[in-house]
Amino acid sequence: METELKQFTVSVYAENNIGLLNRISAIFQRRHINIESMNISVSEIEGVSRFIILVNMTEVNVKKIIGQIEKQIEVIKAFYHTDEETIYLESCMFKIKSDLLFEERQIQNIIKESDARIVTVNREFFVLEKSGRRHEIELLHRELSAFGIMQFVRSGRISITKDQMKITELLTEFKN
Amino acid sequence: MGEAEEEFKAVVEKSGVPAAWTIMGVSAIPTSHPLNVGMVGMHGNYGPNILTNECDVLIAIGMRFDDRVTGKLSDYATQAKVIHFEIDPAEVDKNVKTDVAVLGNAKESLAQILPLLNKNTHTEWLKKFEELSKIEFEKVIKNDLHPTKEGLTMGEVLKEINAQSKGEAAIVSDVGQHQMIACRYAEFNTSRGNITSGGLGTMGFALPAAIGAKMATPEREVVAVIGDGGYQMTIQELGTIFQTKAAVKIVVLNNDFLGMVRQWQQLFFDKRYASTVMTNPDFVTIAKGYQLEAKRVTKREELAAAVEEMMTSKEAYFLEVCVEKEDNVFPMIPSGASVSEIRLE
Amino acid sequence: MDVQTKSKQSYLNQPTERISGAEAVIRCLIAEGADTIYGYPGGAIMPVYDELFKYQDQIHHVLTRHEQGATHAAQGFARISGRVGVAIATSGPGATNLITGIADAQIDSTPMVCITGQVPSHLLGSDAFQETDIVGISTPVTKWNHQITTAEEIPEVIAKAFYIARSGRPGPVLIDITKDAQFGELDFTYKKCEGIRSYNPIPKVNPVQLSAAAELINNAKSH
Repeated sequence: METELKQFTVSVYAENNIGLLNRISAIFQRRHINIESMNISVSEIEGVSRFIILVNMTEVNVKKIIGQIEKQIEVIKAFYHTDEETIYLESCMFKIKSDLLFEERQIQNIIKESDARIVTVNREFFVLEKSGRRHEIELLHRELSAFGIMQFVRSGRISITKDQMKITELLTEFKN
Repeated sequence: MGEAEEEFKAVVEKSGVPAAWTIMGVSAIPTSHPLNVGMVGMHGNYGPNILTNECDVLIAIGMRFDDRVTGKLSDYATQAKVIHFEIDPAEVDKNVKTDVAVLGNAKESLAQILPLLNKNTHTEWLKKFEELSKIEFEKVIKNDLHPTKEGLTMGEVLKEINAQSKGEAAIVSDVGQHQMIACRYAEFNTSRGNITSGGLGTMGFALPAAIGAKMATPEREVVAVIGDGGYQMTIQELGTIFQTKAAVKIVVLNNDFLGMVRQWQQLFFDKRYASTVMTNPDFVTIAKGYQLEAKRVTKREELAAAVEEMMTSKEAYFLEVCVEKEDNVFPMIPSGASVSEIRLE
Repeated sequence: MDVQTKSKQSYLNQPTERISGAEAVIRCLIAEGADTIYGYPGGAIMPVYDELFKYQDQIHHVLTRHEQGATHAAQGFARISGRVGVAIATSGPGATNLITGIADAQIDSTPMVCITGQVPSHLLGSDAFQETDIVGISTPVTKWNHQITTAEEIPEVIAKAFYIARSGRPGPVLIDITKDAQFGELDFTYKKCEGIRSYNPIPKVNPVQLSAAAELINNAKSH
């Protein structure tokens, strides 16, 4: 139903430009929409950036937002997709006291079962890294917090869509 | 209209569809055109507003369905098939659901649709507009343009300006009651005749805008119609007129009030006139201080001659007209109401 | 910033002239057909005004009494003629005084280019005299804006500004030029902007939609 709140991933292809991030977040802010996560990186096309924005809104409104985003001069094209239409994950890192690794047998099991990787170890601390779905990361966080987490950080969502977005075709059209 | 005035006129004439305008669209076709049925919006004409909710096809050209035009959206043209000619894709389906969106430059799309249209007339439909217009004339327009009471109305000042301008002058209005009166009653034969701050409603717009307009088209008469409130927001631009000698005609309709807000205070806040009373200076002396020809009119007998003197002057001219202090602008669609609920009093 | 505009290659091969950034600004305005501009001088825009003085037979500057007046005058100019209105102001309060007129032009789709002076680039972000982040402030009310910090950027950015202001659904554009960019020198040549790869101002008319619209109109009741 078009009027119920759903999670959407908004993907924006844009020219690499400093002010654009400001313009795009302002479009959401103006309509009082909370951005759950935002990731910006270079895309598969040279000189073109890709924004991945996670929002919770109705389909009617996300269509209007896409229109407003595409109005920005440096935006080439914007799309929206549901979770089912994308392949997505997040990453996280935990910094934990090294002693715990030896003192608490449980931690080793937790690490093994969660498929987390140890990226660094020294006398003071070790750092765990995990990529996956949000609920997997939240589970790992719950399990580890019982032992004490020194630092925790989680990235925004990154995603790839299942269908084609045809940006290169659009850009080639322009050159002709 | 994106320079599509000729194409638009051709489409209207061939299809016989009545044409109404928003304040930003007035003068796209001459106001005297037989298929021109008036203005839509909060203070627009009775007919176009009522019949928006009775028509079966609504054609919007370069229109963004602003809330002052649509009133309550859930009650706006819901019975009609909506066709939207629009250059900005983000405007389609933004406020009003469209049945057919024709994207593109109106100049091209209107030219391309012309051969596809049948030659038609809609005399019965047009009669409905005329009937409603008659009602509006009796209840509102007659009193605005041909008042019998002693106090001067804003409408009759516009009537005198029309008589002199013959539809050729550009009218630059500020924001407020006078703006609604100017947009309703000014007559235009040439396009780009109505210059006003529509979307933002910026008071103080008219005086400097009139300077720019006159400099862009010096051969065209430019008349700024301003209220006593907005005038004082950018009054310092009289200095620019003085220095450049731009032959702008300035008409200040002085009712010693921030009229539009006062009207709302009267209708919705039991006449609690909070901060809308204006204690005004001697505008004529100020204008003369800027070396402008200036006159004040307080009586009906003086009006016609003063407007004629202003319009025939080859130099900048300032005319203050003291109008009825507590006149209200009707018709009116109260805020949040449907266009069908437009009030005549 | 590498601006992706059409005909960039041919632009690079034209003969050039070594002039100051400020002079380039005036030459660009003249090339874009701006014969009347409105504005108010001040410290950060003085180099441009100095060049205006030299070119006064080709471009007429009107001194308004407030920068807001300059924007409204530029709007009146644009609305009655369909041409792009131009307003210029200095940094800080001069620039912020333009905002009301710019917001007005944005919502009423009026083509307008505003040029503001800015403190020298090494002072950006230091709360210098008459410094404001006008690009930040004007972002929600402009169709496009950009800050120029080197003289070399001037011709291409101004060309882009006029193109964006007048094309498709018109709107206001603000260009902020630091004082060192105005004093700096460049090898000047000018080419109008003919397109921007990420910007499609006029969608193509769709014949299917056109016939659908015509059918609805032709079959409308006559009551």
